[in-house]
Amino acid sequence: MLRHIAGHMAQAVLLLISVIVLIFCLLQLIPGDPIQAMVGDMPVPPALRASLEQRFQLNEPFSQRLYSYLMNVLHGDLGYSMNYRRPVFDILAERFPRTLLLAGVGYAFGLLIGITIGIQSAVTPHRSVDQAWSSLVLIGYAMPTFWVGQLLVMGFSIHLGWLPTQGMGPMISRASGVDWLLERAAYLVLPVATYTILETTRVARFMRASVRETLEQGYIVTARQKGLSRREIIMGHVVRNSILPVITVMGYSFGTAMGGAVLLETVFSYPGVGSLMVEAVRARDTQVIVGVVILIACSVVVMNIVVDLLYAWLDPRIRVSSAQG
Amino acid sequence: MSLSPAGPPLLSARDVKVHLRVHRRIVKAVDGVDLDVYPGQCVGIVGESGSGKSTLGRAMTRLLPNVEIAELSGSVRFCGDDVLAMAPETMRALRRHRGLSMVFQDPLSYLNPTLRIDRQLAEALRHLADRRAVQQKSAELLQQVGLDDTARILRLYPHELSGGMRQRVLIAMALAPDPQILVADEPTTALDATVQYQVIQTLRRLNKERNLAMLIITHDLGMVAELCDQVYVMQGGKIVEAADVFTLFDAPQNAYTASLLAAARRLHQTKVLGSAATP
Amino acid sequence: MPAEPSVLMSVPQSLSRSRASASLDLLRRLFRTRFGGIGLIILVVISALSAFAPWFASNGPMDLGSPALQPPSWQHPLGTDSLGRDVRSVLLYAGRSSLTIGFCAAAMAFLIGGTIGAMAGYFRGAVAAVLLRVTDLFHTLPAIIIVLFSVSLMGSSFWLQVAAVALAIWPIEARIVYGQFITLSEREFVLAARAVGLSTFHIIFREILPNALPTVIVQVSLDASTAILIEAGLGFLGLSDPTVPSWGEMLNRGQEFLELAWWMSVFPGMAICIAVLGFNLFADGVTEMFNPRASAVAPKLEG
Repeated sequence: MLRHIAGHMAQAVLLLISVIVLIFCLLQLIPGDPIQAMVGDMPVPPALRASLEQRFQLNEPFSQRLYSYLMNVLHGDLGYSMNYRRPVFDILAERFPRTLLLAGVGYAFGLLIGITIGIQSAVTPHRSVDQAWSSLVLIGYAMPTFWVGQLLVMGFSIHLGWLPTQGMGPMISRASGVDWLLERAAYLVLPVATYTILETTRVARFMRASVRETLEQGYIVTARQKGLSRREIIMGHVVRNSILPVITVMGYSFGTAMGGAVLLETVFSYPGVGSLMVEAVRARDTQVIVGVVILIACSVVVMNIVVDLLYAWLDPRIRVSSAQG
Repeated sequence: MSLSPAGPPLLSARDVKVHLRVHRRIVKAVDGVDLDVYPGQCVGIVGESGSGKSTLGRAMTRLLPNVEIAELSGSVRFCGDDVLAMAPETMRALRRHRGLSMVFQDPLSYLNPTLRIDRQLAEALRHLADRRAVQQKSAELLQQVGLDDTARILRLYPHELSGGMRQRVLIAMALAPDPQILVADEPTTALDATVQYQVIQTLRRLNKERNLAMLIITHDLGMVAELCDQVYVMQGGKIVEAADVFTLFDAPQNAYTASLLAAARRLHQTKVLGSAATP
Repeated sequence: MPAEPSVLMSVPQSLSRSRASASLDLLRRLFRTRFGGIGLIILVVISALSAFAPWFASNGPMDLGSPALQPPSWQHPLGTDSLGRDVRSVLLYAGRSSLTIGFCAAAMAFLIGGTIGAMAGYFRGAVAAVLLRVTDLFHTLPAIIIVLFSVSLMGSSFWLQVAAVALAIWPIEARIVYGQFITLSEREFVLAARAVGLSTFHIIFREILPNALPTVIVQVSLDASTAILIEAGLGFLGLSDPTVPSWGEMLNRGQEFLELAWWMSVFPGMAICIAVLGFNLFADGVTEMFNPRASAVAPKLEG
């Protein structure tokens, strides 16, 4: 199994490097003045131009630039943002945990609820229940992420006044410890709820199909004739085997969740990586844009590795047969 | 092996009908079948694909697949109780304690690929008191089907076993509640020839040594000849002939049975004589 | 279950039947599926409403004459927005661009992804390995990120938007077409065609492609729905072509007025929902048509 995992890791690293190289190449294709593109929407004084030219070795051949770019990235130097006047890495380090909190929690909840709904939907003997859930999931799937967010804001914040509309916390706050958490929590409820709804619909659909397929398998019949009860069959045989296909797509769907961050953070004015991306695109702050793209590519790749490990652990066919060589 | 049964039948089907709805049409898979299996007797049901024999077997064990049933009627008496009319709870209790188990064609898909063999066997042995008893009985069951390396096999996953071993594990699982009858639906069709032989020998041994009654559903007349005492021939959802094995092979009453036998003989001849037999 | 050997085989081949009645037969089958017919109707209706917008709208999309921020009324059934435009009219005109982008982006994705997938599937070996790597590369990044990145590089005029969205979805198409080629080229009828000596061109376009058609239609339909959602996101961020009204852009304007004018956000969102639903139901219907599953029955787990 270790060889299997090592192989996947090597592929992942290769993928990451390819992404960085690809981005670098694309950046070279931007028409116009590369210095201006780097700086954004501001005029460039000659001194700055000279120093940037030197720093980025703009007069060196392509391969040399690519190499030093790669080296920089691998050492955590992602450039400097003219817009924010800070190194890109620092900005990302500050904002990423916030997005991770939001997307992570929403994703986790969505996964749990989605799996439960998917199983219920597929297993219930009453067709009406199945159809009800399936219709709900279908409609939820069709709703744009941010629109759901807007609806929730309109409903719960504006209309009912229960929860704040935006931001990550109150402007001024002297709370600490548990109070601090509770204060923050109110701001997180709606964004997390939006994430949860979206991920739930995605997962529920997939899980239902997977469970349906599992139920056609022979070992379910074997379980029935051993005299196992409905609950025992579902717990012991259905869940574990149906989850496997869902897990394989977990890596990519996490990427989609991160992508959703871009839109959701705009709706809720949440200061994470998503809203950073949008601001950077508006200000044409190329360094930040590239930084965010690399960061997200990294997290997707890492997630895929985690998923691979998880899958190998859960499916004995991979775990055991590769050990035998 | 008993040719002239004494006492009441162990399993008795009367006027069993299974009509399925397939793509808006009604298919009369089983259309009024009467069948008896006596204690210790080995009964075979033969027919071509589509004759309804598998459906009959699955109806009798209440293990029909997820298809839409237009009609399911008749009675199937097992030790006196009508299996078809039972409440689900009662049926489950019957399965756990008296066993009306079935072994199918493709052993790989009938074992859960993510669980070890010992866990899957243990599921069938939950009526036993403690883990030690379960382990002991599991080993015994494996030995009964001719798998002697029990300690090793129990720790394996299904994909690590060969086809024949898997099938025998499934038979062992079916024997867990010490049943009086075992139903088998094409138990050897998916296996290699040499392995087929092993499984057939296992079944025969179980029949003779444990006096285990069997209901073998197959299109393989050779297996019927080797194992069965009584044979029912099915065609188009109905029984067209029922006789003891010797009578059936020597003097079939029905034209369809005769044609089945003739076809089997031709096949056998071609196999045996090889290229020498030119039609 | 793989699709039947030929899409055309599922339609009676008697010479006396014309093309028209064969299509009618397919339509009938679509309507017999659970929701496929409804999906098609939805698509036809919204396409018609958008295409014939001038007939259904009371004003032009650029008419700023009406009083701003009016709630739904008899005169303006969906209210007016912050610029004094009749929401219903803008909705209809915006439908044109949103639906067009959705469809064109899906078509473009199919062309790009399909070609790459077909090449990988037909030539196999090193070619396939390289192409699949590239596909994986793009697949790793979330769609929005790719789109934003493209837009920041290229700008966001209408057709560049279409290209950006296509760039985000082509990996899915590539995978699907690749998969189809792999499974279908092993099938007997292709081996037979090869044995008889038919040209590569013929094999690809006359044998494999028609049988991959149902899967492709389904995927293009799903891609169109994804494209509409992505485009809506782009519009919402204010990064779409400002000269063309779109549903996403309407939601962008609505964001400021969530408190004051709920109708500015609710109706465009509903429009997007309906369009996406239409494509999804249609895709599900086509899937059901060619892969009929008997799983309409509740599973047996008791007794």
